[in-house]
Amino acid sequence: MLGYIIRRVLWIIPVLFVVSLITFSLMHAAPGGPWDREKKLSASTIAHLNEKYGLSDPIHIQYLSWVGNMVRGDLGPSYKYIDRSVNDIVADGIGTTAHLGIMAFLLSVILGIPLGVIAALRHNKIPDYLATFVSVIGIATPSFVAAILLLVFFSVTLRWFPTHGWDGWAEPDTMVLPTIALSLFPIAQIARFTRASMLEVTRKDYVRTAQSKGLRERSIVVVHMIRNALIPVVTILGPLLAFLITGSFIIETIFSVPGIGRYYVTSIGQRDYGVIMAMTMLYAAAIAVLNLVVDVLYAYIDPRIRYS
Amino acid sequence: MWFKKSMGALVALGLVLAACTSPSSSTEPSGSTQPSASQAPPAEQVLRVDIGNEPPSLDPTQATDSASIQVLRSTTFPLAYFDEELSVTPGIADDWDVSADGTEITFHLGDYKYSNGEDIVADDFVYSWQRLSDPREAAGYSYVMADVVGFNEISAIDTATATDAEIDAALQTLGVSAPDPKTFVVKLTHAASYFVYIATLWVTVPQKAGMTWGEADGYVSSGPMVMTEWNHNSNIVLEPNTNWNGDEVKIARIEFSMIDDPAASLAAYEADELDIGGVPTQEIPRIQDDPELSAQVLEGAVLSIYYFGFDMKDPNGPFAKSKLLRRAFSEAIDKETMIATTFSGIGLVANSLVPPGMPGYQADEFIPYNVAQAQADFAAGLVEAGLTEADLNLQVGYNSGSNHEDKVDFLVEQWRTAFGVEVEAVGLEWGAYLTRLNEDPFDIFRLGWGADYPHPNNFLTDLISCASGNNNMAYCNPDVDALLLQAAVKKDLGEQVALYNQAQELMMADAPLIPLRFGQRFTLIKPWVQNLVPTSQDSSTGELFYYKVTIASH
Amino acid sequence: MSVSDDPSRVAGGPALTDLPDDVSVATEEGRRLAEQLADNRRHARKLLEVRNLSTHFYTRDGVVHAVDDVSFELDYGETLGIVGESGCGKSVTALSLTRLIASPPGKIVSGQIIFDGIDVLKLSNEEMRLLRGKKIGFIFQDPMTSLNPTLTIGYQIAESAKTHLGLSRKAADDRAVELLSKVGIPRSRERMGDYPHQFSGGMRQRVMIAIALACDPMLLLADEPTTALDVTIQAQILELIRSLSDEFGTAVILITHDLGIAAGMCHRINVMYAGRIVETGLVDDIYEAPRMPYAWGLLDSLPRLDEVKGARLRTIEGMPPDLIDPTSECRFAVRCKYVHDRCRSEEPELTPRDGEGHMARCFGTEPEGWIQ
Repeated sequence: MLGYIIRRVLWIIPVLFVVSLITFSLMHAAPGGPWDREKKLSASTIAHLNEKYGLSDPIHIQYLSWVGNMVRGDLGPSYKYIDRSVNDIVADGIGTTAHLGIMAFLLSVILGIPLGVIAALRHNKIPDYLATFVSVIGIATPSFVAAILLLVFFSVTLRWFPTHGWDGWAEPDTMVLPTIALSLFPIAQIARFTRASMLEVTRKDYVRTAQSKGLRERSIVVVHMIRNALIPVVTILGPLLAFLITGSFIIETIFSVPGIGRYYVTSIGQRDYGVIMAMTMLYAAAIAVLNLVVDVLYAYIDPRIRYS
Repeated sequence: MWFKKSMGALVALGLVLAACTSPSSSTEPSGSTQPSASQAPPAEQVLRVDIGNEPPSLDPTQATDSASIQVLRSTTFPLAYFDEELSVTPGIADDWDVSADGTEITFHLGDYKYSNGEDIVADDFVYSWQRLSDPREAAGYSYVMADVVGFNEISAIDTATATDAEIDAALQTLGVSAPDPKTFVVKLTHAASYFVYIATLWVTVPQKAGMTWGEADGYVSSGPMVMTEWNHNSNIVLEPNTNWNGDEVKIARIEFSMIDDPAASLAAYEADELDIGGVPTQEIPRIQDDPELSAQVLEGAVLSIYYFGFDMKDPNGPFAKSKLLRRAFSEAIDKETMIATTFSGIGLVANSLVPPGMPGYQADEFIPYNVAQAQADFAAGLVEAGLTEADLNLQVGYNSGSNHEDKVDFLVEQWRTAFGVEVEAVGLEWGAYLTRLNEDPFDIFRLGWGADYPHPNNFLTDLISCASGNNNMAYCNPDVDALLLQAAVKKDLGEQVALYNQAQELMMADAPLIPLRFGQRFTLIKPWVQNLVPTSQDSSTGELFYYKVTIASH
Repeated sequence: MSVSDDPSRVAGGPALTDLPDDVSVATEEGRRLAEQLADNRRHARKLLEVRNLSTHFYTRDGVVHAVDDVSFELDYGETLGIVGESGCGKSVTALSLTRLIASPPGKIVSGQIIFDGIDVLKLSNEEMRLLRGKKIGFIFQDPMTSLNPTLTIGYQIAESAKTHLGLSRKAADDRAVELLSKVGIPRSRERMGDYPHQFSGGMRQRVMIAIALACDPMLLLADEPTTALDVTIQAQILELIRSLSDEFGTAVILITHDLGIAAGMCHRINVMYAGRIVETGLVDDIYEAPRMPYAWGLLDSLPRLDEVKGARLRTIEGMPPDLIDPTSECRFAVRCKYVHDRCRSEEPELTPRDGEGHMARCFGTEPEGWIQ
C-alpha cells in the first residue's frame, strides 16, 4: 500500500507538468495580453512592460523560466496587482478559501448523505419526494441565483447576516450565507448520488440475505446498506472537495469573500499569466491529491480493492 | 459577467419573497432611515463606500483603474486640484507661472507634509515625474508626460539592452527640475495650455524614494487621509492625515469595501452597510419605482462617452472608401429610443465627442437621426464606394458579457430596417476583442472613453488625432490635427474652446464614429450623507472630496 | 405423508453447542415468541401449512399472478422439493413464506401460512423478524452476490447468532468458527476475517449454509442453492445440506428447476407451473408415474445414462403463459400434446391419483380421462 501511494504521488508530478504545459500554451495562444486596456498603453510602454516581465522572450524560454521558478516556490509576479507577487495573492486568500470550502464540504456531507439515505429508504413516499425536490432545486438552481436570493432575503430584508465580508470564527455570522450558498449544489449532488446508490444497494442480493437473517432494520441499513452505498459516493467527494477548497468564483464574488476563487475568472480576463498558472496548478494538484486520497480510502472501505 | 443580466429579476423576486414573509425594515417603527436628530447621539463620522474590487495598485505611478484612483484621490494630493465646478485651483502648488512661449511652467509650492511628518519638497515631484517616465516602471499613464522635454527620447530606450546607469542618466534629461525646495519647473516641447490639468492627476503626486505601496503598513500619504488598514480583497480603511495642511477634514474614517458583484453591492447599500451605492442598469427601473429609494437617487453628468467607430484602417473597406456610407449608418440610429430602451433611460444623447460639463461641449446635432436621408446616403455611398449591397458583409464587434448585447442588437435592427442590410454582431471576450481592434478592426466596433481630466484635449487629441493610439478608427484628417495643435497653444480657455469646436465640427463632418450616449451617474446616497461633492470628473460619485463629507445622525 | 414418525427428533434438533436454553432468547419479545412457539408445537401436527396462498406483483403492465392459490404442507424434519421452470412461482412461494417479497410491487393478497402453529401473515414486522434467521434459514441461488462484499464472513455468520441468540461477540465468533468447520471450511478460525471475494463460489455457498444454520432453524429454505455452481461442487453442496439437515433435524424446502436433484434429495415434490401446483406426491410416485404432461416433460428433459448416444435432449415446446390475467383454461393447455377441448374451457383441480398424497391437476389423467 505504501509503495502504491508513493508511486501515485510520483505520478502526480508528470500530470502537473503536462497540465502546466497545456495551460501555458493555451494561455499564450489566446488572443490579447496582459497590457490590453480600453485606453491603450503606448507601444513603448508595452515594449517596456514585456521586457520587465520577460514576456519578450521566446515562449519556451518563458515556460522553462516559469517551471524553474515554480520548483523553487516562486510563482512569479502578478501583472494586474503589480505591487504583489502571485505567492502573496495565493497565500493571502487560500486560507479563507479553504476554510469556506471545508465548511461547505462538511455541511454538504452532513446534510447530503442523510438526505439521500432517507429518500432511498422512503422510496416513492413523501420524504423521498421532498428530498428529490430539494435535490432538483439544488442542482437546477445556478449558484449565483441561490446566492443572490439568500443575500436579498437574509441580509437585506431580515438583516440577519452581513451582505459582504468574511471574518472567519471572529465573526461567525459572516460565514453563514457563503457556506450555505456554496453547499447547496454539493448537498443536492451528494443526496442524489447517495439516493441512487442506496436504491441500487436495496436491490442487492446481500441485502435480501441480511433481511432473511432477521437482522434489525437499523442494522440492515447501517451495516449492510449505507457502507456499500457510500463506496460510489466517496468517488465524487474527492473532486468535490478539490472544487470546494480551491474556491468558487461566484460565491466569493457575490459575498465578497477575500479568497482566491475569484481569480479563476478575473485572472483569465486580465491575462494575468502568473495567477492563471498558479490557480490551474492549485486546482490540478488538489484534484490529483484528493483523487489519491479517495483511492486509498476506497481500499479501506471496500475490501475487494487492494493496491500493490 | 455573464450572470449579471438576470440579477435584476432575481433581486426583485427575492424582495417579493421577502416582502411576503417579513416586515421590511422601512416599516419598523424605529426605522433607521428616519433621521431623528433631536434625540440621537451624534453620528459616527464614518463613510462607507464600495470600490468594486481590490485596487490593482495603490502606487500612484502605476494606478490606472477606477478602484485605485478612488482611494488615491483621498490619500494623495497633486500640484493643482479642482474646485467643485472643476475649475483648476491650487493644490500643493499655491500658484504657477507659464512662460511667455508657453513651454515652461513654474510651480510655487505651499507648506505641505506627508503623513509621516516629512515636508513635501520640489525634489519629490522631480523624483515622481522621473519615475512616471522611467521605462523600467512601464507605467500605464506615462504618456501624460509626452509633452515634457526628453520624455519621448526616454521612452524610446530599449530596456532590453540599456543598462540601469544609462537609463538613470537619460532620466536626468527629463524637463523637470527643482531650483529650490519650493519651486518645481517643467519644460515642455511645445506650448500646451492643457498641461496644468496633467498636474492634477493622481500619477503626478509627490513621492520620495523608498516609499512602498503594497500594504497599509508603511504607506505614506500626501493627501487628506491616510491608509490605516488594507485587508486584501476585503476592505481598506482611511483615517485623517494629522499632518494635512489643506482644507479641513470632516470625516473621521472612510471604509472602502470591495464588492465585485454590482447586485451584491446594491444589496449591501439596501442593508445599510454602504452609504453610497451604485445601481446596475437592470435595477434602475426598480429603484425608480421605489418611493424610498428613488428619493435617494443622485443623477448628474459624468465625462464619458459610448460610441461605435468605423474601420477606416483597411483602405478597401466600405467605410474607408465612403464618407456617405458612414453618415448613412449614423443617420439610421434613433439614439433617444436606444438610450430609453437599452440604458433604462439613463444618459444623454451624444451627437459629438466632448461631453456636457467639459469646456467645449457643443449641443449641435451634426448628424441628425433621419431614416430617409440615411437611405439616400446609403445608396449614394454604395456608388461612391463602387460596391453593391451584396459586397458589404458587414460585422459589428463588441466585447461580450458586459451588457452590450442589447445595444448592438438595437443597432443591427435599425440598420436592417433602414437599409435591408444584415450586419452580423460578433461578441468577443475582452482581451481577444482588444487584440482584434489593434490588428484588424471590425467594420463597426464598440468602444467607450472617460475623462482623465476635464479638458477637451483629453477627448479630441487623445481620440481622433492621426497619431493617437486610441484612434482605433485610423481616422486621420490633418486639418483636424492642425486645429488641435493651435488650440493647445492658446492660453485663454475661450480661445481654446473655439478651436476645439472647429476641430470637432470638421471631425463630425467626416463621421468616423457614431457618438451614442454621454454618461450619466445614477447613484444612491443615504440621506445622512452630507456635504458630498459630486463632480462630472468623478468615476465614483464624490471621490475628489470624500474628506469633506459629514454624517448626520440617523 | 410424513416421513419422520418421531416428532421428538425434530423438536429442536441436537444443540450445536451446550448453550443453556435461556441464552437463546435475548429480548422480552423473543421470549414471548419462544413460549408461543413451544406451546404451538405441542398442538400442531405440521411444521408448515400453506393454504390458498396467492402472491401478486403490481407492475406497469398489469397484475402478475406469480403465486396463485397454492396450498401444501410440510412436516417437521421433512425435505420438500418445489420443482418447475423459471418464473413458475417457486422462489416467490419461498419468499412469501418469510414475507420477503419486495413490496411494492409484490403483495401477498390472500391465503394463510401457519408455521409451527403461528399464523405468519398476522405477525407484526418485528415478530416476523424474530422468525427469520432464527426459525427459518434461507440459502439463495447466487453465492457470489448473496454475501455482503464489505463484511468479513465471520461477522456475517456471527451477526445472526448475536441478534437472535443474544450471544456476546466472543461467543458468537466461537459459534461462527464451529459452523464454518461444520460446513467444511478448513482452518475456519483463520478464515473468519476473510472477505467473500477471497472464497470460491462453492466455499461461499458453504458460508451461506453456515449463516442459514447459525441459529439452528426449524426450516431451511434453499432456493436453487446449486444452480450457480460447477457440477462437481453441486453434489458436495447438496450432500452438505442433506447431512446437516439430518443432523440438526431441520426441515428443508429445496427449490430447483432440476427434477433430478429434487429426486435425489427430497421426500416429496411439488411440481409448479405458471403459479400453480400442478402435481404433488412422494418422490417415487412423481418420478415413476407422473400424472401430468408437464411433469413428463420435465422428466424427459433430464439427461439419462440409458439414452442412445447422440440423441438430442427433449425439451418442452413453447413458453409458459403470461401470468397477467390468466385465462380460465388449463395453464399448460397451449403446450400440451394431449390437449382436449375441455382443457381449453375450464381449469382442472388438483385431484388424487395413485400413491400417498399423490395429486395432479389434469383432466386427461383423471380416472375417466383420455391419457392412461
